[in-house]
Amino acid sequence: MVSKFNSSANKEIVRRVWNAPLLEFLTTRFDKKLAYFGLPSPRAEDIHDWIDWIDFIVAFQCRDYPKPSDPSQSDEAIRQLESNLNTLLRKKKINDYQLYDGYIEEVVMRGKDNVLQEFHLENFITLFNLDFCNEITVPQYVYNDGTDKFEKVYKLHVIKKIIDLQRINNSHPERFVTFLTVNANFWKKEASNYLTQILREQIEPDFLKKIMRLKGVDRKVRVLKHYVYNSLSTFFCSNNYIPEFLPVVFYRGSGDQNLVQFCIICTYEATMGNSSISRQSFSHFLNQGFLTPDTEQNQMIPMISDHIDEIIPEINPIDIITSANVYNEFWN
Amino acid sequence: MGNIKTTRYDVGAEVLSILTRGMYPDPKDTLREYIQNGVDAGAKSVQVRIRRNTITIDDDGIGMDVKTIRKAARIGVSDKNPGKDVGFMGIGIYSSFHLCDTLTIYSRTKENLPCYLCMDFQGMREVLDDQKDKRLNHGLESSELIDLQSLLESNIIVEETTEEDFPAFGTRVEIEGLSSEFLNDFLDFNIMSKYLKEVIPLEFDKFNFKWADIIENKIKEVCSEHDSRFELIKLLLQINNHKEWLYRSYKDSDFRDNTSFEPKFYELKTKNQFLGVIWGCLNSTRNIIKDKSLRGFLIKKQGFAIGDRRMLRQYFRPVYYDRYIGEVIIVNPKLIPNGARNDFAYSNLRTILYNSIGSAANEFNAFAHSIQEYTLGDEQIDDNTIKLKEINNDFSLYSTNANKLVDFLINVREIRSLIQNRLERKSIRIEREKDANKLINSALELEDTIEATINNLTKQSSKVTRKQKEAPTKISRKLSSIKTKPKEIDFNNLFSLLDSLDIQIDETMIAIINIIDERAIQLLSENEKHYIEILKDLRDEFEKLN
Repeated sequence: MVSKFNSSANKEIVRRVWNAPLLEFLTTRFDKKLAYFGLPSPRAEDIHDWIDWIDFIVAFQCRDYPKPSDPSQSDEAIRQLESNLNTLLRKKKINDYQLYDGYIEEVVMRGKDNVLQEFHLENFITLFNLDFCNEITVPQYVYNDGTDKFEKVYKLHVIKKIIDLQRINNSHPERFVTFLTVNANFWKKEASNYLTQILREQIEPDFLKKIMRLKGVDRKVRVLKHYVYNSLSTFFCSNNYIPEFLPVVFYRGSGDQNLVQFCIICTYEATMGNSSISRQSFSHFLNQGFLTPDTEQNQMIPMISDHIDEIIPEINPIDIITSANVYNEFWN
Repeated sequence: MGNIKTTRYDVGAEVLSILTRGMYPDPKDTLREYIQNGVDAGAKSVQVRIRRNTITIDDDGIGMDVKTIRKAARIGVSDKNPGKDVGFMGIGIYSSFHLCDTLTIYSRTKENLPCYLCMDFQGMREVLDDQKDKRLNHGLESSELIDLQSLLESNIIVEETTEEDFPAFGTRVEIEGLSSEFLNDFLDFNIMSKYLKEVIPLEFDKFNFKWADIIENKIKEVCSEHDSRFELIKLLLQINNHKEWLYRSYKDSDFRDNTSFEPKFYELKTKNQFLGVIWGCLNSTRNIIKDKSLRGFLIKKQGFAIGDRRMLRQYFRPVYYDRYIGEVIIVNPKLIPNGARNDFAYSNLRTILYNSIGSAANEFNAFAHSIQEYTLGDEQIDDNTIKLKEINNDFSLYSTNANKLVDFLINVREIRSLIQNRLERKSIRIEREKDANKLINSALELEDTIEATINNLTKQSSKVTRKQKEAPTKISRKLSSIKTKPKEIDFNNLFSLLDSLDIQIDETMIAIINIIDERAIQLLSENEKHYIEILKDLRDEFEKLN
């Protein structure tokens, strides 16, 4: 069964107008094409859109989303993606690729895919496109050979493992970009626990006070920003990668889902065994509005709340990067 | 009756399935066929990539234009030269018929637009299966069966394409929709690399095989003297994420002590014709080559394997055959491989070739014999030096045990006569003749001393002379000056001894051998050391049987 996450017009604008210029900028800065690691669809739309800036691909393809993997499921989606990637090889658009059969959660955590191909991350990845589409707190059920049981694996665990591996492979250019797309909803037990915790610990209390005036998805998506920034910053910094979170994109995806895309630029910092420290203002990031695709004008536009004060975000990703502290400290 | 008149309906489509199944019983052979086409097109580098659903083979040969690629789809008709090219039967392109859903070949020459040929094998098989079912149910007359021409015409496309679609020069073969029954072998890197290393004209491994350059250059030199080609290719094998450049299998570590004797060469030729050249490296010790699959000689025509290493065993003394690694490189254009690539097609030249291989085998046997006689000589000097040292240590001038003294004397005489005999037969290397003489002199001195001690036993109050007193130290000093190399023993019972000689034994025989070992050989042995000595003697005897 082919993934139901087909490309939408909004998504295409995000990829072309927001992501692509950034990738072009990074390719020029690194003076080499990017190594992609992600979850493309069988048609590999993101890869096709970004092909001018990619020359190596690590791809994961599940069989029957969202059901847990099962050998009886058709592997048509994987065959289709393989065929697409082979075409890119034939056209000399890419140098090589790795394709894994299974959910990223199961392949990364088990160290092998559904057809027992071992998972190796030997290349330094410069572009992570983690397009999960469902909620960040929704676990994937992964079969554990040892216990003979399905176990919950959370996306953040997977991201943490990937960043750990990336640290081991650290090599020139020591910088990478991560696009993380998840459902804008932030609910269930994990989410309410998080909100309780940050309210108790008063992490950015002014922001929290402000967003409590909002309801529904407007509030959830802002708590989600808080959660993702807080969690990922820790992962990145503990591996000596200083993160720079660009404005978050909020859009309506296929199937009328509210999606958000985080874009994080990471730069390696050599420390004497200590974690790195983010140079970015958490408060500024939280209080910044969103970007959203405008299908009529075919561009990205700012999207701020009518009910609370928010900083209007810059829409040009290059201007955002080049004005960032990390850029000026490490990239210039 | 005159000559018959045929139509397209006289050749049924089923012939394609029958031919390909018969000619390519091993699915891996399909890779050899497509790589061979690349080599015939002058490729220097070939890249094979195997994924779960697709195999691609890229070469940097001259490529094909649309006219040539159209011709490639013909069956049993080839523009290739049977002498010059390895593939010439005009069937190899269909070798993946039973393996995959589609075969697409992209190709581009320097002068023309790229083109491609696409064969829908799944479509063809469905048509054939369908008519087979109908025939079984009597729903189809033989006159209604599809002919070969119609089957091909409706399932093969040839077209020009764009540079964007195929920018490289050369040819790319895409085998898509691999049948799952063959996947296990295709996705196993060890199986595939081993196969390709044997059958493809790969370069020698210059990093791991010290004779690589010498062998490669010598073959090139001999071939060029006879205006013949000897070309090798670079081959990259990638299976999923694992990729490696492959070289011929041979490594120093295939030989005992990580070395072999210098390669020996033999030109295969008659008065008027050059057939090829044989190279062979003999193991450095009297042991078989560790890796069973590399023991002996493999015939290669233009670098592609013909048959396997069992083929030439009959021409050699088995004991020596298993101690060699070598190849028979055939370059004569008139020697043409048969369809199954397991021998040459019958011809007078084939008979001449095998006669010539027989003569070469005699030389390789003789070389092994002389060299290994020397090796045996080395081993005997080493072993007997140690033995003599032990006797010298155990012997006492004041011994009163006459039996023991007589045993000593017998053993020392045995040692002396063995080494003397070898020296007289000139079966000791010149470099070790000095050691042999030292050993003989030491044995003589010890013999004299033991004899004197025995004589003293028969006399009353006899005195030990100064010369006798000094003898053991002198002998010990002399023996210590012989540099001995302790021999590696890779057996510790009768069964492991037979196993080390690669003698095939079934389960029942193993049980019988173990009983003989326990009830006879071990009972004969005074201690473990003696037991191993007996086994060593047995090994020498067994080896002589070969």
